[in-house]
Amino acid sequence: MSSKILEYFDYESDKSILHQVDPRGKALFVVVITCITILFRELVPLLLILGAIIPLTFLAHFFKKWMRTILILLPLILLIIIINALLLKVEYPTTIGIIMALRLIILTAVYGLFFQTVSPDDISQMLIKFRLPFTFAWAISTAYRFIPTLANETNIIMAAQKSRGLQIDRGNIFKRARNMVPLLIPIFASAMRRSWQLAEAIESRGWNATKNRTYLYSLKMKWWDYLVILVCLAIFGLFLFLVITQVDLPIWMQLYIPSKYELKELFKAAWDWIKGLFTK
Amino acid sequence: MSKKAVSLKQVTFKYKNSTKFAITNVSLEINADDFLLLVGYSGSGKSTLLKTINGLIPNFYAGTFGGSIKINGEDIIDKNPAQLAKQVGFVFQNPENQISNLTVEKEIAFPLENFGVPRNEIITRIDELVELLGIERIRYKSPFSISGGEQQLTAIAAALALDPPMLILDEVTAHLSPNSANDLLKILFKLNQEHDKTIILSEHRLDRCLNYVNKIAYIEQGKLKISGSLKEVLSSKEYPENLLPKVPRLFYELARKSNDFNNFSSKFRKSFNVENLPITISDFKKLMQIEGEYHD
Repeated sequence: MSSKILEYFDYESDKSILHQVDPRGKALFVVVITCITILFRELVPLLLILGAIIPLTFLAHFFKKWMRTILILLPLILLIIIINALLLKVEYPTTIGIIMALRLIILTAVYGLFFQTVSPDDISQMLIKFRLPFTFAWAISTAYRFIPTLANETNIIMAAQKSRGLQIDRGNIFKRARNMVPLLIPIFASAMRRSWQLAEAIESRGWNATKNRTYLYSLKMKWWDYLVILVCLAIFGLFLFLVITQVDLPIWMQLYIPSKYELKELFKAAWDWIKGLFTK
Repeated sequence: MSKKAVSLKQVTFKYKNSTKFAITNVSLEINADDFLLLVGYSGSGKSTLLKTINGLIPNFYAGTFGGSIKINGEDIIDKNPAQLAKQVGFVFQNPENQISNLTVEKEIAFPLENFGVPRNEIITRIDELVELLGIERIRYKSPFSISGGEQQLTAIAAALALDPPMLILDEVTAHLSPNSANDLLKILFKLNQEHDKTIILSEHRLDRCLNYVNKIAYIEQGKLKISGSLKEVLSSKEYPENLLPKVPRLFYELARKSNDFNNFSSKFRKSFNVENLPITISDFKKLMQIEGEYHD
């Protein structure tokens, strides 16, 4: 499970159209969509956003991976819908539940797209362009670079401790959590050792030798990047206009699930039906 | 008389929170054309000694330091490793833990970027280095999809990026297969012979290095016991028999046996003199041929 979630954040070197877009443009896209998704409280606009993002996932060859992630998250999504539908004291609780779930689905798609198409090096280059110190950008890309190494080491330590008789997947959830302690100490110790050795190595390679660091590769905006940024800003502007002017959305956008089909009502009907079976 | 590359005088160091000294009163001179092999048991202070030459000690590790270290006649005590990177290249034991970039090319560029070298110069330097070390194939690959030997070559390329006259290698072959270890040593030999690099190598398995090194230093419990040419050191009483390479060990073994058995000729016995100590197999062959006991 955990390794599958890490896989979701994996960068895949590919030559898709979205890979060629500057990471700054994509970062802006992520920010804009996140704002819009969180602030819209109607079902139809969210469905429209989702409809607009699905073609993008195909463009980035991300659709299959996204669907796998959604499958993993399915229990959580259903839980969000059910809890909201049953517990919220508003007019249309099921609709709100579905909106919440939709937000989650859209955000997984948007962030997944970003991490799928932006290499860790580009992320650090982007942070440098945003005037963040190099140390910080380097830390981010190095953390990313060590994920597979540490995952591999965790597997080795797990196998070693299992071969000494540690039972990791036995017992209830608390027991299992306690079983993890013999894993955490060696993992932590080896991560510490690694970080020391890495620090030694970068010190010996002239870390912070001069203030004016140069870069082998740095980001350059192309015409389509300006286009992407322009489109993102236009969408954001439209959204701000809608929020500030408080214009009522057209009727067809204010669609709700009718109270006849509220989850609460459906559950009640099902319960009555089951009760009926036994009273007869 | 060749130029002195490094001179250590009475170097002593104790790590913080440690009760005993890691190295005590080490004095050692290394010439510019040397390929020095540093030998010693685990925990004898080999790595500590190497780190003093590159400034990691005492600038990166806290502790008590004494003595003086000069590189090309210049005192380096208050210089940090980054300032010394142009004079000393350092390669560590574990290749995985010294590579922090996501392609081989970027790893080689890293020190050059740190020193603010312009982009086009970085590219020409990378071109030179990948050709020198024969790693053109893996230039654009991730360092984690290549073999351990190639990772170590990448690390060497990064250490050589700033073109330091000296290269220090701390047990670099420990994680490698015998074949790639041999290839690596051959490359180091080439760097020493053709590119005039001073090379200091610490290593546990001596046999594979004997054809390449010209000097050897033995360190025991933080003290430098003996240093000098291969013959000098390996024939010395200070040098432990456990750490002898195969050929000298066989030689000593035979010398001992030759006194026990009568079927060795007296001429043969006489040749078993420390002065004739063979280092490599071909030395041994020669010795035997002189004495007429061995024929091809």
